[in-house]
Amino acid sequence: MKKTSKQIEPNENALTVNNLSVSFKTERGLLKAVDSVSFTIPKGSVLGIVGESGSGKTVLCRTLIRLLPESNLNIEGSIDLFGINVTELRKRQLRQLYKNVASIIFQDPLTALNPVMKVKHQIAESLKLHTETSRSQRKQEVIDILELVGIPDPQIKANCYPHQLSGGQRQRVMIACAIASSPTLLIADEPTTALDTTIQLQILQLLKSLQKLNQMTLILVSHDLGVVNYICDYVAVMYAGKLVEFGKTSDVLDHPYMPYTKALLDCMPSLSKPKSHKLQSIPNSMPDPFSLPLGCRFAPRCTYVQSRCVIESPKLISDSSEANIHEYACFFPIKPIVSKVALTSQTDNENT
Amino acid sequence: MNKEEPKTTQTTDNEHITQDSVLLKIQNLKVQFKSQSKNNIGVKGKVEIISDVSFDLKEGQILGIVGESGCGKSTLAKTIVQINKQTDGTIHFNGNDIASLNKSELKKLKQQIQMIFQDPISSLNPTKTVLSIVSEPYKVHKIKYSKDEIISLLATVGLDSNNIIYRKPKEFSGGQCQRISIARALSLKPKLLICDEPVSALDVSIQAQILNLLLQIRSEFNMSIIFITHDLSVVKYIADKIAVMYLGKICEIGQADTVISNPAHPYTQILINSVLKTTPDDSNTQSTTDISQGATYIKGEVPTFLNPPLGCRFSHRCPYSQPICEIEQPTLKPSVKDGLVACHFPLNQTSLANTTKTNIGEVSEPN
Amino acid sequence: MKTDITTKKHRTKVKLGIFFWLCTFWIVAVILVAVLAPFLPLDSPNKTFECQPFLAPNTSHIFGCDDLGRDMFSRVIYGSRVSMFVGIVSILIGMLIGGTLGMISGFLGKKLDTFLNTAANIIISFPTLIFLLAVVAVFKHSLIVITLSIAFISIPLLFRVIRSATIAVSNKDFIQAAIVLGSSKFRILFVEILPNILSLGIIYGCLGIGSAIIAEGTLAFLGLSVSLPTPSWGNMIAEGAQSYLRRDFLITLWPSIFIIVTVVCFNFISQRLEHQFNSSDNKV
Repeated sequence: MKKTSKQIEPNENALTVNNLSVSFKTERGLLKAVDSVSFTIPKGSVLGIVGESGSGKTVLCRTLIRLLPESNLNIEGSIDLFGINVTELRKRQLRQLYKNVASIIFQDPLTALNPVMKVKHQIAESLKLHTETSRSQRKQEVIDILELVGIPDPQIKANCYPHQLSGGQRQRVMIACAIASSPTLLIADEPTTALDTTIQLQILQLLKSLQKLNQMTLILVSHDLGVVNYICDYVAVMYAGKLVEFGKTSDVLDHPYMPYTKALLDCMPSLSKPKSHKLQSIPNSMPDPFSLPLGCRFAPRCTYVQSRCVIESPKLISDSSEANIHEYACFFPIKPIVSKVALTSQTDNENT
Repeated sequence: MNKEEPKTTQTTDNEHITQDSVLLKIQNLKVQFKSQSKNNIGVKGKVEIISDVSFDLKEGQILGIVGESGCGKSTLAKTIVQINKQTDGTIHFNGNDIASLNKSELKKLKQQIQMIFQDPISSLNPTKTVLSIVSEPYKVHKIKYSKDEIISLLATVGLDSNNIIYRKPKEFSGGQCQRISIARALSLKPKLLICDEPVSALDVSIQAQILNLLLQIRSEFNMSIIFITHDLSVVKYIADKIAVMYLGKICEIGQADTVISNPAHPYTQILINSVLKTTPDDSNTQSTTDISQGATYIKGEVPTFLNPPLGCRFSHRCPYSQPICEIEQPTLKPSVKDGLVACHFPLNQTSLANTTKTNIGEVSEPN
Repeated sequence: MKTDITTKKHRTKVKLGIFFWLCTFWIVAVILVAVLAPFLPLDSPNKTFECQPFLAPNTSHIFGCDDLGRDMFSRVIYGSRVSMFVGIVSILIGMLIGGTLGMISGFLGKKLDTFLNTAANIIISFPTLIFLLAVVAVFKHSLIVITLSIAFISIPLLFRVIRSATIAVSNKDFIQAAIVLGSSKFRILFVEILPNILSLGIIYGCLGIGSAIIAEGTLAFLGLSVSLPTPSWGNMIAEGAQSYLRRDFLITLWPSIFIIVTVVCFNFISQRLEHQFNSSDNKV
């Protein structure tokens, strides 16, 4: 296993997810948190997974490296991470994966860091797993990494316990722990949600620069389209367990095809919008995961809903007209040209 | 004390407002807490969470208070509703000094000031039904009510279904719980509603619903709202007036549009720049690289209340900091368009800048 | 703005299970029989030579007879009167005093809290058995003295549990909301906080009753509970175990079974309820 991970072939794609479904056994029945998700991202890119709470984004990102407790879990489909088939790895091989390939940063650094361990020991721990260096060497490496993630006075802060640091510094330490094993894939699960906007900006800039420096592939989970727009090359929009739109960030956020993405953009208040501009809110809330709508899952809240949306579930289709990948799951996407076609096809339906 | 001067200039008028009377007047408010840890002189003592805050709020006006976590904005809210007591300064509500009221008068006053909290789930008692939660204010103040009133109140906040009143909070989503909270706060038709980060715990789609609901309620009930948040884009959308707080002090206050489009305090400008744009074609987009390169990039983090900087509290992080900033506290001085700013070298000042810079000799009293 | 009120469905409640209901049935049956004992067609528990000493169980004396020819079944039933009374009443007293003080202390905090907490710590640090022995030695070992002294020991323990639960609830926003509404402290304590800690009170109450029954049994075994010949499970075990364990272990066995089963039932009920309260979202 160690060998395979070391000899990563320089193929194009970092991650290929094919028809991935994740379901939990619960007291109320089977809960499908992620439903037939497929996407591909190239090496060294930054993917943003956006969605509201309950959309399955966290489950998806943790399944990518099989981090969820697997007793009540059922994973279908395949995950190809740098040529490694993650879904079929055994426990021991998984450990090798975490050691050499993938790392994760969590939302709340206070619970993710060990409260009774000094910062330097926590980072040394990740270093120890990865490289075989002498003690004194490692000491210097810890300081270097702390400096790299922008901790002021790394010599002093290395001897601190997590609770002695501020929120932003804790998140930096988390990042330091995660990159100490020089991973090729870094997953950041809402890394800035608990932070102030000024600190958020600092952390995002740090992540971006580290990603460029180490040629990492970064997967960032967020509910904030602003964060995604700031840092991500690709964006995957999730809704109720389904991937509803995927593509280059600029394409998706500039011209969203899926009404949900557009609605999300419209309901975010912005500094540039004039004050008279009324925020468009999405009515109602996310459907209950145990009684999902039959057709498109967004149909009950969609302003563009047609009769077809209610009875048939749209598949993820690729927009072939453009060179870039831009996939969406909608029968009547918001496109000036295509919407005309959609209209005619809709009238056809009504006639028949 | 030389605090009288700024207040007299604070006669801003607002296009949304019909009446012009001041509902809430806060003058030189100070709140201190006993501290458990020692400050850098090694003295265990008091920390001043709110130091010298003054502002007016008119009837029907929405004041947004913005600042990073730990700037004292929540403490300010809790002091206005008297969960905390002030150490110094006065709060006048409708012309009455809150501190001078006795117990029963204070209880009466509490009918007119209500509050909504950040966590919608935790702000509702899990053991009670919706009916008993929303009718609680009536019971507390011994006012008669009918079930229909409760149902129509819930309809006002967008929960128009009469079979929900016997359900418990756990059956509702976060957004619905926040609506129930709002219904409870509205039940006594308060004149002032204080919202402490009411949308930060909600999803964006729900957040927009709640923001629109608050705006609708304001016009329906002609209420004043103090809206506390760390999110500038939210406050820009909802507020008429914005106060920016930093480490227990107001550093800038003024009309919402002016503060956002023409910030006078460097801190305000930095906050504005830290708001991430959602779409690449946003009109006032500064490209991402600009933010990281320019002087607008903020370094470091908020200092603690234990050891506040001697001079301007923002001086250590301020990209425009001058020697005087580190030794002398700036006071609130008039800025453009009736705004007030506490900065020795305010930005975006066309004509005012030179005249105000001369009278910085007076120092506000030390803590 | 029209909103569709689709509330979350009730989470299907975790079933309490057949064993829980068996335990509840046992407890209810023991309490009923204990209360109604004088009216039941039982032999007198203290009448000697009702039957042949050391009589093996048979149809007329289903538990057999003891060394003095007293009906064991009737003695066990009458013994339950003492055990259940001490267990339930002492915990009720403990809950009433300890729980109330805990709520007040946890909610009001400050100096009162410091004082009460210190007092509770001091009482907890007494060795329980030695304290009980001392009390019984000074006062008469009557039912009331035993009950009160066990209640006294349970007060600080229940105080602590309720106090910490109250502090946890007090930090919730709905308490702040109640303060803002102008609710009095009394109202907040009883309308807002009490319903939220009631479940915890029941859980620890059940657990406490089990412990109190054992405490009474221990005292009775040492001959310091109700005076003979009034039967209690503890002194019956003592009688049987001290003299006749080899000759007729049934004299010891019957009260032992009753103590063990009753205490296990209380503990199991407590554990099941805790699981139940935790799994429903009611828990704060």
